[in-house]
Amino acid sequence: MRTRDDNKIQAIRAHAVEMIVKQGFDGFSMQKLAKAAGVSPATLYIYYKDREDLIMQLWAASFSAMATATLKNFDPSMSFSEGLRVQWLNRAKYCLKYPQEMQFMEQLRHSPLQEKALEMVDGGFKNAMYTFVNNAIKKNELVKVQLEVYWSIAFAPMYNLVKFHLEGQSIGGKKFTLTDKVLHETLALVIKALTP
Amino acid sequence: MELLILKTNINNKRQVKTVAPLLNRQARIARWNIDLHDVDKILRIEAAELHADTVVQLITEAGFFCEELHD
Repeated sequence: MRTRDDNKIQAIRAHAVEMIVKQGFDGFSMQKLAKAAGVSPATLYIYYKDREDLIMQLWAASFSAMATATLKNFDPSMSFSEGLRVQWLNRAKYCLKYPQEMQFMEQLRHSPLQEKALEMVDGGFKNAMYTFVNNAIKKNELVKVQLEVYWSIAFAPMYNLVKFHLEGQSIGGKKFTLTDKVLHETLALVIKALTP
Repeated sequence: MELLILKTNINNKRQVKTVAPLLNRQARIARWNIDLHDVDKILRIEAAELHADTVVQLITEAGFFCEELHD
């Protein structure tokens, strides 16, 4: 049996994410990936059963890295404002460091592979999120609204600021840089909105 | 267990069904799949002591193109 080469796998992953982000799933082929990563197409099939297996393994690795980063120093029993602050900083930091991985996960969520991808997600992350929200509602630190409303208020503002920052501009092409001050100002407003 | 990676022109599920019995009949083949989503329509075989030429002959006789890809 041929041996696993971790450096090769790293190169394959990095190039695959880049290629999918830049050219979409339709423009992504094993042959093009092999060329970009400097390996033969045969090598790709040593590590991955097929194209879909490769994409799903990429997703699993990206999601797990994102989840680990988000949960760093986080505890679901934290007070709502403290827990949300930790998550904001963790999530923003991760997005700014790995914008392509975030973009790739977003693309996958809008692809036919979405259902399969959700099945693969480890329950630990989801559980931590649910426990945190339920605790906060019980302690009367968070208004009781449906999940979609909660998420849209709690996290979408942060992701939008990150998006402005990565694009280097906001509305009408105005130059924008995300600073700690802006992030904390927005977080304070979000907490205010979600406090009963 | 060894891995054989072959490029084919097996294009769709119907054609996969044509070659499936031929591959399933091979006792040395533990597992196989064809990547229909990829341009090279890769036939990936996990087998014990099976020569690529045997597979190439098998698939070619069924009327398809087949060629081993090397590292």
